[in-house]
Amino acid sequence: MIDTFVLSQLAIGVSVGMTYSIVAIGLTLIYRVLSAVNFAHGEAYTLGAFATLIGATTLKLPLWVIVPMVLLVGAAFGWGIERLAFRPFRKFTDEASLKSRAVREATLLSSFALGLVVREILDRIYHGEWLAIPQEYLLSTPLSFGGIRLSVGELAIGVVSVVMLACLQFMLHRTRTGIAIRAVSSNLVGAQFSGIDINRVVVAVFIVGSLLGAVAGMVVSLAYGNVQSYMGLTVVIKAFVAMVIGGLTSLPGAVVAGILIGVAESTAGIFLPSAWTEMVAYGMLLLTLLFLPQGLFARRRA
Amino acid sequence: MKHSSLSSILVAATLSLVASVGHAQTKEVKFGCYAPMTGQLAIFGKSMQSGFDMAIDEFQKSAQAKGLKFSIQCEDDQGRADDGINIARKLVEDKSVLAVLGSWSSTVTLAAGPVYNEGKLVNITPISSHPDVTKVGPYVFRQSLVQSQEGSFNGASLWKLGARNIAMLGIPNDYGKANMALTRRGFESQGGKIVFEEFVRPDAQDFRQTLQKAARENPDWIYIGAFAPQTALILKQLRQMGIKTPVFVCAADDTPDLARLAGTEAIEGTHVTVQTNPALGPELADFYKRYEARYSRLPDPFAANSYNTAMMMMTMVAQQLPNVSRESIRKGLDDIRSFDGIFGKIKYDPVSREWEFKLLQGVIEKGTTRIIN
Repeated sequence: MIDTFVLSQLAIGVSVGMTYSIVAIGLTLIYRVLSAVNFAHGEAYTLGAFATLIGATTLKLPLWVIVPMVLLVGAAFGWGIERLAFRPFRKFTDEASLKSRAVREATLLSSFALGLVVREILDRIYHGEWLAIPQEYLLSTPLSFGGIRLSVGELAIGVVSVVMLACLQFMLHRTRTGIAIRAVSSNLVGAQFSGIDINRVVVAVFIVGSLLGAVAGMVVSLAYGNVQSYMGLTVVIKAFVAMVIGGLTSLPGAVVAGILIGVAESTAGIFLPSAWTEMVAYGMLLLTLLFLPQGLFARRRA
Repeated sequence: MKHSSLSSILVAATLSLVASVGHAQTKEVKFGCYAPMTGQLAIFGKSMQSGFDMAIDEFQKSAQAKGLKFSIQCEDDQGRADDGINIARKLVEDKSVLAVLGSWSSTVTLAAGPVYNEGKLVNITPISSHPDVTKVGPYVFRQSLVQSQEGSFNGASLWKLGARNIAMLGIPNDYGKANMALTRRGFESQGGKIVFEEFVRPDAQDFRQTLQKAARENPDWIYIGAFAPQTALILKQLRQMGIKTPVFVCAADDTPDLARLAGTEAIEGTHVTVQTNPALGPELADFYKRYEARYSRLPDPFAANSYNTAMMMMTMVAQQLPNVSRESIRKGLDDIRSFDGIFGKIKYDPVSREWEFKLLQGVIEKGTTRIIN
């Protein structure tokens, strides 16, 4: 016997989990190609939310203008991350040095530092306050499914995650850039020998990844209505956990793992005070690393 | 050539230093301040600074000022205890500082208070309401409501509104813990029952799970002991989830920022404990008008309290001239029995070391608070 209370709690878990998934998609894409974690990804999310806020409050633009604006901000940021935090460490183009530990560690730190700089700049400008997106832009209309109450925004987060995943799969399998990305991620030297410009592919990955991050920030901020300079930090850590549990390189794996984390948190919340549920994701990370080091949806490792 | 230009700069610098010191001895009075100027609580730190700025401008124009030039500059503690302590150490060493105002958050005042106490520099907070603030030591003062007073008032108000079983949600910092515990005590002493109590993470975005758990216990009322950024999110999510249980929020939430963050629709009908409202008296009504004319927004209780405390401190300095010192300010605050400011004439009890503020019950309608008793 499952009552509506439990079902509603699970529904909340799924919807919170989808915010992790939507961020994990971009993070995983970059990891798949470079084997590097882009910790500035959370700031793509934050910037997407801030672009939405500025579009809605200062510029008072309609939503259909805000969407391309957010895409542009995300793409520009992706290009910037690659230029500032990743390219300077890519001095040699052979596979061994591209995926070497030294480069991975250096870019982990440089992307973290870049994220910190963006966060601090936003903090100086907006004083770290919670800022509200005007009511008329919000996707907060309540929806009810047999006693389970959700909002249009949550549905939007789910729909956008699925659309993002589908577009990405289409791009990776059907377009020239996508095929180049896959070639680079599965066999870098081979890709180089067949005339693929590695730098261009890497830039494309960052642009697409950050663009997805910015879209995630936009959708989540429209669903919840509040924007803050540190909002990306908490989410990117959860997304990172989702990526690891999902098997590091699997996009559908990251999405499913994100939802699993959300559901696990909400299930724990039924029995524990909510302040404790924060530990659930990290507990899951620990268990995954101990017992399923390849993740739940492991692919063969390159 | 290089040498002569350097020495001329040095001479000029020395001269200007001498000039400014000479000036300070006769005219300048400097108060230190620590408050959250960045971070989640920055909106409130800015309210404090606005209250101080307005008080200084108005006081200096009055005859009482006797040509004195006051300054209160808030340093940023970000609402963090360790930053508050560092600022305190700095201000104690800075001999030009006569007394210190702040902070906003009880957590910070409780942490920095002992440093001021040890350094024998007066620290008076116009905001922090944790019961232990004035117990830190003889140099730590406050001029605001106290949680023990608010707690019993909240409990009694809820009971009068017909609440018998309530669910309580709060934030797990010094303020939230004291507010929740004392409101619980106030409500239970009336005969009420707490059917659900949970502390939420202040950095969380989604409170729906907790809200649903609270709603499952069928409370008559929901009480929230959190600051406006979290309360706004909680109220919005309650509305979104279709939970119709009436809500009562703590006095710290009686600020225009709640409507700005949550939208007027989500906070409509919410009950709140009120310490500052234009309906409280002509002086306060007039303060609201002057504040709105100056800043094009309405004051919150934090701006009003900061204004009142700054006025009291400046009046005291002007009265003590020419023998003003850090020690004379402490003695002045010990000896004072009442102050006539924007809250009318308020009384100081030297035994409890607390000022007496009047609390009222309010309800939020169309984004503004209406007094109901």
